[in-house]
Amino acid sequence: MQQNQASAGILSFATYITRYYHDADYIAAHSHTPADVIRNKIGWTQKNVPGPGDHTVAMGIKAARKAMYYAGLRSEDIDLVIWSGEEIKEYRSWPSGPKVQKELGLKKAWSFDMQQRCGTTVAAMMMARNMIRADKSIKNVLIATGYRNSDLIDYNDEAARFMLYLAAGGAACIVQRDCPRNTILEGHCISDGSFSGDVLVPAGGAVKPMTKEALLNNEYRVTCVDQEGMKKRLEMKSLSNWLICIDKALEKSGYNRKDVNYAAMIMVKKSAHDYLMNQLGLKPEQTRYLGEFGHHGQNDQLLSLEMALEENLVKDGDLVLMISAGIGYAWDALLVRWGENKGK
Amino acid sequence: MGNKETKVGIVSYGIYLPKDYETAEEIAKKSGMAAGEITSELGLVKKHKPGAKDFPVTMAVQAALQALENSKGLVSPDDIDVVLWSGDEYKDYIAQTASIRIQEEVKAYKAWAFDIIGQGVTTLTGIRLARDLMAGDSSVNTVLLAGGTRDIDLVDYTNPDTRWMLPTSVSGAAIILRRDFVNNSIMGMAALVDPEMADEAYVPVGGTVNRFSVDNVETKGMFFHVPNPSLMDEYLEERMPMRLAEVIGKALDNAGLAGKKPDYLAMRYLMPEQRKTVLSALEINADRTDSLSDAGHHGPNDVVISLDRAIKKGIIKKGSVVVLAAAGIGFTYSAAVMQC
Repeated sequence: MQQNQASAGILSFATYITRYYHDADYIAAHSHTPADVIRNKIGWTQKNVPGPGDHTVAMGIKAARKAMYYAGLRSEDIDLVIWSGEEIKEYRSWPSGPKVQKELGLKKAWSFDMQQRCGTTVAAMMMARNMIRADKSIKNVLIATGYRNSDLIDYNDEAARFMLYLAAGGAACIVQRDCPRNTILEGHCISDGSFSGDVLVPAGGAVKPMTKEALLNNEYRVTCVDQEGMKKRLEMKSLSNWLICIDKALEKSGYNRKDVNYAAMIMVKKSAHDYLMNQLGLKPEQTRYLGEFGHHGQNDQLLSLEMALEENLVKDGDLVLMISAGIGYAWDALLVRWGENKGK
Repeated sequence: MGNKETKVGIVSYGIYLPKDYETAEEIAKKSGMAAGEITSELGLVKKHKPGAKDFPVTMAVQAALQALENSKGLVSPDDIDVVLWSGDEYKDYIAQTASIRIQEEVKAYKAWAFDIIGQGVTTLTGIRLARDLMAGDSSVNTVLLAGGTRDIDLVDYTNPDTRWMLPTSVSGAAIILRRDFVNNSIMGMAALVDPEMADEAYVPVGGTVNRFSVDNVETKGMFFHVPNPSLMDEYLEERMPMRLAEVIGKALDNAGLAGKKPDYLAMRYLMPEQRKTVLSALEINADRTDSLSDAGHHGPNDVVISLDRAIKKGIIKKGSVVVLAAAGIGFTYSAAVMQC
């Protein structure tokens, strides 16, 4: 449908994985959730947590340095930096794009930060592709992300049980105009604000400034205001919205569900992961559950892709489906034709 | 520039301004500066101050509803394909996806949404992303930008290093853009970043370096901090106005109007000396812009507030060439040229 439009692809990518973990036993000892439930019912074994120096933007920068090296680009080749990481970062009211530029010496670029929670990197890849289509002056876009919302999880909060796997890490990729490989095809996003009040950090914004009292009341943590209600409303909508996004992305790109070779899926509980993969008719080796990493927020799709390359789950010519969702609530799907660009 | 086929225009806009003001005298009392200095050095006579429920996202919703109403039936909530938050990073809640909240409040149920996070330039970044979304994705025809700012909560009036932030004010603003809208057409845009300034202004407490704790939440660390005040003063005085003039020139170049003097410059709030430098660099008369001295600095909303004033005063007419120009912490600069 987007004939005669410029093409863009993923020239390189990288992740940064912290060296520290909390495993199911550790989390069980600090929460009301038994280790057995974490391992067998929710379905994961451990998650990355930040070590010294593992701040949000710092981790994104580590991944970005590797992505730059793999790309073989010079610093002056980057025209635009999109920060797609979490806005809870080193400091508050501090734009991240200029910091990434500073640390990587990207003096010719401009930058902006975008945010759709754990959907951001997929949305940023779509945005980068659209910006390349719109603007001849943009050739190479660096997307960098960092995430450490593990900080915001209170293991004792029963309402946060479904978020115990929030982890920490960084990722980055370079999207290039007329890239010889890994062509970005079409995507689709849905967002639904009826969930916008469900999950929040009670204090620290303009509505309720952070005070000693708010801290003592345990209001500096991410929590779910209406756990039962959200569960009911979300379960009905979440899987169907994902399928709508996926089917629309496939349709726009000229493919069907049966054409998908690999799904780079956001980390969710194992049963939901398996259910969605079943709906898509994908075999276990056509996806990767991130059970030994935890949920790296908007880095998950790049982490999954890295695992897929390591473990030979993706080959040249494969159709890769990236699937994400973000609290608030948003769903995203994006297709990438992996390997050498042979034209279509 | 770029994709010649994709024309994008501003259909309507909306602004929400709190009713109450804080005067130079009141600011003088709280800051220890003389009222005369606030007017002469900072250029401020008075500014809006927030009412009890004037939160960033809440104000942006009011502005977005206004923008829909001001479209005079051209845009209904169901027409909106994408909602972008174009306000400041500091919002009603920490890590809140404001755009999706706004989508719900204005009943734009068919849209999808994400936030642009930044300081001061996000309205202009939003105009650029709206245009690029329409150019790259044929399913996007109408985009709502909505942003609120209340960074005044983050300014310590007694800190001499952040005096330049005392004009910081409070508001919501929204813009609706549409593919192929013939009026108010976006002709060209430009953006610049000075990455060497990336670490020169931020709020220390409440990030991952200094997490909120009982020892720091009621300290000065809750406000904007400038680690190198003399470097910042020099930057604000010399480099910032020149970079602003540069980005305006680039946007005019990109619009194919190199060297043209705009009929109006909807520019962010600046201190009088900075304003003088920008205007003389571009050879633009002061009556072709607005000092916002009786409104204060509204971050990314300044450009919308200034535009509105000029339209109401009759400075902008059909066919006028208007440049919107902003700058903010980062430091980042952005400009857009619009043909009315």
